[in-house]
Amino acid sequence: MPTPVLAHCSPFDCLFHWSPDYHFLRTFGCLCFPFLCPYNNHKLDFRSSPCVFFGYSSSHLGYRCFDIASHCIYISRYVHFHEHVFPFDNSEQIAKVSTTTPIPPATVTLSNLLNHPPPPTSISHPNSPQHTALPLQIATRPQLPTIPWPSSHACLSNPYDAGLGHKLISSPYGLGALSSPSSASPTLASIPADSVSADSPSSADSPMLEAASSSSSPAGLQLMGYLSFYQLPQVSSPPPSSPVSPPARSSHPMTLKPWQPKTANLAASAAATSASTRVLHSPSSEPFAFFDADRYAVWHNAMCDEIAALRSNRTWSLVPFHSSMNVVGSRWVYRIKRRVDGSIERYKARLVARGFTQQEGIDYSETFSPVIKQATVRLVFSIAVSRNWKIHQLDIHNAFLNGVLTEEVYMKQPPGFVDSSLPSHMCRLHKSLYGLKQAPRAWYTRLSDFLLSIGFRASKVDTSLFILSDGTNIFYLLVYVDDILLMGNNSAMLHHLIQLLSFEFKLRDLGDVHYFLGIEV
Amino acid sequence: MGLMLRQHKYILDILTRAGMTSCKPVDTPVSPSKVILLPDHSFSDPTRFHQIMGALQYLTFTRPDICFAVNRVCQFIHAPTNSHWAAVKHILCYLKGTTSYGFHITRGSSFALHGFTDAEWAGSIDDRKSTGGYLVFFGQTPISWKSGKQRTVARSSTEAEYKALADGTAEVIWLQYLLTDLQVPSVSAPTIWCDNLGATYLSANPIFHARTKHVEVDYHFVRDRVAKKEIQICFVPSQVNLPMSSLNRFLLHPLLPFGSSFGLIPHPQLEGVYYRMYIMYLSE
Repeated sequence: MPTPVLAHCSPFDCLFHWSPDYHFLRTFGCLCFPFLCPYNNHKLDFRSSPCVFFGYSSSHLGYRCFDIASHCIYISRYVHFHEHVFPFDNSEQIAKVSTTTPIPPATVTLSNLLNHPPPPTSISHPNSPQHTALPLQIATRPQLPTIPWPSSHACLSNPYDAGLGHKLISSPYGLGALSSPSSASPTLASIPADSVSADSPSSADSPMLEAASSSSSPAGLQLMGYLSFYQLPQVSSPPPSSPVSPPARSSHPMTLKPWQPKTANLAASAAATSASTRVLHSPSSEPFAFFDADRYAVWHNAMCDEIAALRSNRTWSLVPFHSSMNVVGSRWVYRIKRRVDGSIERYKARLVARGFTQQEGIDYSETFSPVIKQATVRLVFSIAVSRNWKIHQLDIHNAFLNGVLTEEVYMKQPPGFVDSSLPSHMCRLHKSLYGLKQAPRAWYTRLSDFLLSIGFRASKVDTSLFILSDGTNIFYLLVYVDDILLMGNNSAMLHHLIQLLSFEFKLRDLGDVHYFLGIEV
Repeated sequence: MGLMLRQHKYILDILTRAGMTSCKPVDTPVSPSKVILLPDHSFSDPTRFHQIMGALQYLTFTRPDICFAVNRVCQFIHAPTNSHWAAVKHILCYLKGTTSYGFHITRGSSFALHGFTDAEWAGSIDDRKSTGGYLVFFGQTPISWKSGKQRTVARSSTEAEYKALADGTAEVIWLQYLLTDLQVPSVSAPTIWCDNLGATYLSANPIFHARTKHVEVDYHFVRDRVAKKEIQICFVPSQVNLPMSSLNRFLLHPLLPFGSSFGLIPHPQLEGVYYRMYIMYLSE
């Protein structure tokens, strides 16, 4: 949980310097299709069947899926989810329950409810032997973590309810209330109707607790017997004080991400997030995902700078999508640049293309880019020392962005900066981006073309060494991707050459070489 | 006068990554007594092994003294065992005591190339292949070095030395091309020093005999260059050679104190014909 003591980072972030990945978490109770071939007896059996997502295996990296037809529980790693379809959903009946009771104002917040939980009224299980009829031995299962639960589907019930005509007794808090010790026995819990309905309308904004319905039907009882092992741990965290961190709801590490509901909003219109919702203080860790970073003003500004630089560089133009395009994705990479003493110099956001989805022959052909040989570096250094030359080091800003692409490469619009008028358009890249397979080669080609045009010639035995000579003056130029060393016997002409280079590329003259390729000189 | 290239911070980073910042320094990169090739339990964290070895390989940029040791362990990078990891730790302990070492580029008037080659015959216990190596000086500055297991089994030490000689010759010729490109005038034919008399004779003497028939290609390659006077091969006694392939022995050699930087000075007792490593401790 984020806490103001740690500058609104969670202890996990501070400890490990990365945010946990929540992509594995899925909506509880939704329709899913696990890969069932390992369970099948024959290769022509169906490879999947409709199941209900029941949770995560405690001993595997996999999901537990309850087969609707066979009532078996499968554990599978490869599952397709339909997170908006709920086979056990009985939302109409929930709605009935909700509307029959007056809805209190939304001041009943989640933390209030958690700090003062309504007294659970346990009703005894009318048919306890039933749950042993489940195909798997559910009674022996360990307690599993709570599962994120979407607000609009607060109820899990049995698909057979309607067909069998059984009356539904449901409670969104059914399991939350079960956290009392009495839940060790297979019991069903229910909450007074007013507190149930109190949460239902407000659930659109507040993250939901796990909920389940009970049913008087035998199948429903089986379900509840199983579900009773999903218990919500007691919450003892203090009420929230941070504007971005919602209340802590569970001490378990696998609970819902604190601001998950906000994430959905951000996803829809990330760039439109108003500045007032951003955190102004400076984060001390590097975020992993765009949604993490966009909450902070400094990261947002860094991304805006990068986008502005790319626009001024005319890196891409928007074109309508065509199915023949191989489109690569893009993502943001965040780095905090620090000074030697450890203080923060600047926040740097870089847009990188996901070049690993490129296909050879379609959007890249050659990728090899030569680098300087070690012996050449040492030989050239030796000559320069012997002749008492100064060695200049040049640093090219955003070297790879200078490369001109010859292939047609299409990229998705960058996260957070989607053109609102042309949201479905793709970026046709003209200049290379970091992450593309041909980026180093494109940069090398661009640089070598320029150097050849101003009179240098590439050495035949080491193509990263460029030599300029006119009989009396001689200059050597070594290229190691974006590190450039330049030396020669005429310092006036040397500065002229550096100027020529700086007209073509944005560069910085670092002066005498002190630190080259991690080598202290 | 000159320039000092070193990777002090890089060495400290490697030691930190390996968790060996407080290890006890040792004097040699390779333990002369321990054999690292015994069958052993595989090392539990190969990824860590690979990372450290990759870093050490880059470190040979300024450290020819660990070249042999690093190459020897790198031969087992596909399936590291505990004894290999012990060898890596030995290198790290050596680095711990020599973090400020680097190589020194001195200002010299001579632009001549000198190559030194050596081989360790049948040094690999597993397949009895030899290890060869060379070290090339430009004037007094070492500029190119390599140590590596030879691809074929040598039936005699002469053959192993001869193969190392061929490798060194190829490198010297490449450097000559590079110098031509850099428009540095070459004063004389480069000299390659070899500490095996048989190999030295073979490079000039056009006699095949049964024990050298199979090294024909190398034979022709080197001899061709010698006949054209593009290169000259000289004998150097083992005591003053710079054996890259067996740097452990070299570093323990009483005549040659190991130092913080590598360079060449004329050997005082041998009237400038031979060279030896000199010590230059830079207390910065």
